[in-house]
Amino acid sequence: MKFKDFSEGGGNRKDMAKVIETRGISKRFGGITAVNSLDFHVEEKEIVGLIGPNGAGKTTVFNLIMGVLRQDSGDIIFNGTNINNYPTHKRVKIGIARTYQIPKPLKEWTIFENIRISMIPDGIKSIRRIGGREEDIRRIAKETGLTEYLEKYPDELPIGALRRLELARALANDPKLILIDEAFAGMTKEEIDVISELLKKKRKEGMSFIIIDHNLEALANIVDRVIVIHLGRKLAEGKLQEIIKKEDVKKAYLGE
Amino acid sequence: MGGNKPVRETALKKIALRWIIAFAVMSLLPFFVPHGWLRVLIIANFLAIFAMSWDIMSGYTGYISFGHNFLLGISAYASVLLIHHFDVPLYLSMPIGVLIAAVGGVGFVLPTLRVRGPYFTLFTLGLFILFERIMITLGPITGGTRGLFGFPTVLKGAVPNFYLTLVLVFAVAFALWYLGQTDFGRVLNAIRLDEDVVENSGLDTTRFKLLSFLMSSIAAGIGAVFFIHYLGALCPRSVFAVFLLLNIIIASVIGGMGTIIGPFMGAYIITIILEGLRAVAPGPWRIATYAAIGLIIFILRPRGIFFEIQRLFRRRR
Repeated sequence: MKFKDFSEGGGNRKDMAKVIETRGISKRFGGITAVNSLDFHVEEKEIVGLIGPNGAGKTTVFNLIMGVLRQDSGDIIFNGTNINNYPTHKRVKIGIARTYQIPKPLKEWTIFENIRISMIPDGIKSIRRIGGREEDIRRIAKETGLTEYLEKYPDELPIGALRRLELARALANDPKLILIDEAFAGMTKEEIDVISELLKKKRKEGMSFIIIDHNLEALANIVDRVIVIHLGRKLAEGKLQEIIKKEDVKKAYLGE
Repeated sequence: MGGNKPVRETALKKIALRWIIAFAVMSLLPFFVPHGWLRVLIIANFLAIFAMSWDIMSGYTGYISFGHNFLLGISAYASVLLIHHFDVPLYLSMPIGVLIAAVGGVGFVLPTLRVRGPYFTLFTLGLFILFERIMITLGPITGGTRGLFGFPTVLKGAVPNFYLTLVLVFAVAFALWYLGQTDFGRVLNAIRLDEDVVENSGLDTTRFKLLSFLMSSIAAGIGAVFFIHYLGALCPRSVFAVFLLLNIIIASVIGGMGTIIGPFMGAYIITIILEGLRAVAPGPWRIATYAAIGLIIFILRPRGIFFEIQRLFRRRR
C-alpha cells in the first residue's frame, strides 16, 4: 500500500470489492411502499451514511439486510453471495451485524454477559462449550468504553453506554459489516469522539459500516459517502458536504 | 432469575456436594415419615418431574405451554396400550413411551415454533384437549373414560417406590439443572428476554426452542411412564386432568420459573399444602384455600421461592 492509502475514505475506489449490494429491493406494508427499488452498495473498508427524514425507510432497509423482513422483490448480495433466503442468524454468521435504534439489552444479564451472547456457539454445541473468551470480551468492552460497567446490569447504564453496548455486541459477532441504527443519539461530545475513532480504527482493520444518524456534523467526521433516501427511494448519493447543498435533499429534510 | 453465570470448574465441586446432601437428606425420609405421607411424597416426586420438564421449555424460553398433559398422555397411553394389546414387556414399552413423547412432542409443536405468545399457548392447549377427546373416543382400544387397569407396575410398596421416584426425580433434576447452567440454558433464558436479540447474535432460535422442547418431552415422557406404571391404572383423568396441568404450572411459578430447582421445590410445597389441607378444609374448601395460598405466594414473591432462598444465602455471606 505504498501509493494509495485505502484506509481513509473516498468514493472513487472502483477497484475495491463490494461487501454488500442491493439490487432493486422493494418492501410494501399494505398500501405504503417503505422501500422502493433501492440500489446501493458498500465497499470494503467503507463507512456509508444512510440519511433521510423520519419515515424515509432507513430502518426498514436495515431490517431487509438482516432478514428480519423479506423484500417483496430485488436481491441482496453479500460478498458475492445472494442472501435472499438466509435467515437472520445465518446472515449474522457470515458477517453482518446490526445495532438497534432503541437499545435492546438483555435486562437480566450483566454487561459482560450481554457482550458474550454473540460468542455463544450455536445449537447443541452450546451445552458442551462455554462461549467467548474473557480477554476478547474485555478488549471489546475497553474499545467501546464499557469496562467500568462489565459487572453492572443494563438498567444501571446511561443511554450513551447502552448504545455503546449495542455496538459492543455487534463487534462481538466478529462481522465484516455493521449496520448502526442511530450511532450517536443521546451521546455526549466525548462519547461521539470515542465512537468515531473506534469506527475509523475498525475500518482500517477491514470492517465496513452503514450508519443511520441525524447528527450530520458527527457523520461528516467519519463517513466516506452518504446515501440519502426519501419515501423509500434513493434521492442522492455522494460526498456528504456536496449532498447537503442539493435542493431536493434540502426539500426532503425541511419539507417544502 | 436463577443462575446468572454458567458453571465454572471451581464452583462445580461445591455444587455437586449440595446435590449429594439434598439427596442424602431426602433419602432418610422413609425413616421418619409414615407410609401414608410417603405415598404423598411419591406423588410430589412425579409432580416435580412434570414441573421441571415443563420448566426447561416454558420457564426458560417463555413459550408458555398449556399442553404438557399431551406429552404425558401420549407416552403413558403408548406404554400401556403396547402392554395391553401386544403383550410388550414393561422394559420395552416404557422406553417406547418416552420415544413417542419425544417424537410426538417435537412433531406436533414443530409447526408452532414460529408462532409467539398466546397463539403458541392456545395451540398447545388445543392439542391437549384434542388428544383427551381422541383417547375417550377410541373406547374399544383405550378403555374410554373408564380406562385400562391391571397392567404391571415397576415396583410394589411405598418405600421401594419412594426410592425409585427419588432417584428419578434427582436424575431428571440434575440433568435439566445442568442444562440450564450451560450456555444452552443461557440462550433459552435469552429467548424469553428478547428473541430478536438472540437471533441477531447469530444463534438459531428455532433450533434452540426445538431442542428445549425435545428435552422437555423426554423428561415428561420418563415421568409419565413411571407415573402410570406406579398407579397401575390409566384413564383420561390420570394424565389429561386440567387440575394436573394447573399443578404443574403453579409449582413452577411459585417455585420460580426458569430455575429447575424452583419447580422441584414448588412441587413439594403444593403437594404438602394440598394434603395438609385435607384435614382442615374439606371438599371444595381445600381447593379454594390451596388456590388462595398459591396466589398469595405469587403476589408476595413473584420471582418464586427459590429466588428468595438464593437471596437469603447471598445476604448471609
